[in-house]
Amino acid sequence: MALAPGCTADEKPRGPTEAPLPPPVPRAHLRELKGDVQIKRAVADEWSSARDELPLYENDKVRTEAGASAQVVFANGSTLHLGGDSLVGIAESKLRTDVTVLRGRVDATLEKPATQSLSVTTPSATVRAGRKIEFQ
Amino acid sequence: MKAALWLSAWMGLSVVPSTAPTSLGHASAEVAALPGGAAAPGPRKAPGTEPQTALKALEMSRAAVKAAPDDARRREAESRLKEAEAHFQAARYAEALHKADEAWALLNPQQPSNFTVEVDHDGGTTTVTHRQGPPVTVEAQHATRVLAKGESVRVQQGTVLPEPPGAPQLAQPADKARLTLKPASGAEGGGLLGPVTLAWSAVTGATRYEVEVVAEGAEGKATPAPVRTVVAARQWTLPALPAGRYRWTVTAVSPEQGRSLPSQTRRFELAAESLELNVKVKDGWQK
Repeated sequence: MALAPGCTADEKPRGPTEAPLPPPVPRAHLRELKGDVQIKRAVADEWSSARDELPLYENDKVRTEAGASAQVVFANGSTLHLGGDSLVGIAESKLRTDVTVLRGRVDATLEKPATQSLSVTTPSATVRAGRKIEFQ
Repeated sequence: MKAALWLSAWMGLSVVPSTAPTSLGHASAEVAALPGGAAAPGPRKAPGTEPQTALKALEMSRAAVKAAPDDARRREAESRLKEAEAHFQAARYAEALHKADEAWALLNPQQPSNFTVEVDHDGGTTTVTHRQGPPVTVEAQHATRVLAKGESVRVQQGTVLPEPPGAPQLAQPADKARLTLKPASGAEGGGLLGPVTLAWSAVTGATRYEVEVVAEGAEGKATPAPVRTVVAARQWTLPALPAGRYRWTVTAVSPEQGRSLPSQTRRFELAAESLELNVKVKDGWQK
C-alpha cells in the first residue's frame, strides 16, 4: 500500500472520516487585570500568570489573589468582574451554565439582557440572567 | 414565522452542571400553585420539559409585571401575561412560553442587568444580590426563586432555598370601608382627602413592606397613578387623595427570604364630608 504524503512507515494514513478537529473556540477573554491573577488551563497541572486579552476555554480556571481583580468577558458580551481572592472555572459549553464560582465575589453585568444571557453556578445554586427572543 | 425562544434553550433540562444542584421545581406542585387552581386536563408532555420552562417564563413575567409602573406598557404586558396563563391552563405550553416572553420583553427594554454572587471561603454558602435590571432566577435543590431589584437570597449548600415570607394580613381600614373626610384646604391640598392610615400585621423575617394603593377609575374619568411606598413600619399614612374608590395590597420583603406574595386586596372609598348648609327661612333655620 502506498503511503500518504507526509506519513512515515510507522504511521497509518488518515481515513476519510478522520477530519482534523476544529480549533477550540474561546468562551471568554480576560481583561482589566489588576494585581496577581492566575490561570490554570484545563489540560495543565500548574497555575501560571494571566495576561490581558487571554482567551479562556472550557474548564480553564482563573483565580485572583487578595486585592487583585479581573474581568471575564464572555463571547456574547456579558461580563463577570472578579474581586480579590476569587476562584472561578469556565464551564463546558454543553452545560447549561457559563461559569462556576467556587470562591469569592463576582459582579455580573449584561449590558443588553434582552439579547444576552449569563448563568453562574456555585456549589449551592445557579443564577440565570438575561434572555433573548429570536425569530426565524 | 416560527419563533425560536431562547428560554427553551437555557431553561431546558437536558444537562445539569455537575457542580450545580438539580434545577427547577416539580411541575405538578407548581402547576397546582398557579392562579386559577389545579393543572388543566388534557395531554401533557413528560414532566421536566415544556411545562416547567413555560412556568418559569410565567414566573419571570409575573415578577416583571408586578414591578412595572402602572402605564400603558404594563397594561399591554398584563394582557399578554393573561393570555400566557390561559395557554398554560390549557396545557399549551409553547404558546404560554411565547406570550410570557412577549410580556417580559415589553417590560424589559435595553436596561443593563447587574447582580452579585458571593461564595464564602469553604464554598458552603452562596449569596445572590440583584442590583439592577430585569429579574434573575436562582435555582437550588429543585426550587427556583425570582429576584427583583434590591433583593437577595442566601443559599446554604445542600439546603433548599429559604421560603419567602408569609403575606401580611391587612388590619385597617376594614375592607370596603367608606371614609368620609374633610377636604384639605389651601392651594396644594385643595379638594384632596386625608389622612388615611393603612395598617397590617408584622411578618416574621420581613424588614420592610411594599404598599401599593391603586385608584379604581370610574368610567370616563382619568385614573390617578398608583401610590406606592416602601416602609419598615407596619402602618403608613397615605398622602391626601382625591375622592374615589381605591384598592390596596402590602408585600413583605425579607433580606434573606425575598418577597412574599401580595396580601389579599382590600378596598376603601374616600368621600368628601358634605357641607352642612343652614339656610334661614321664615320661621328659623333649615338644614
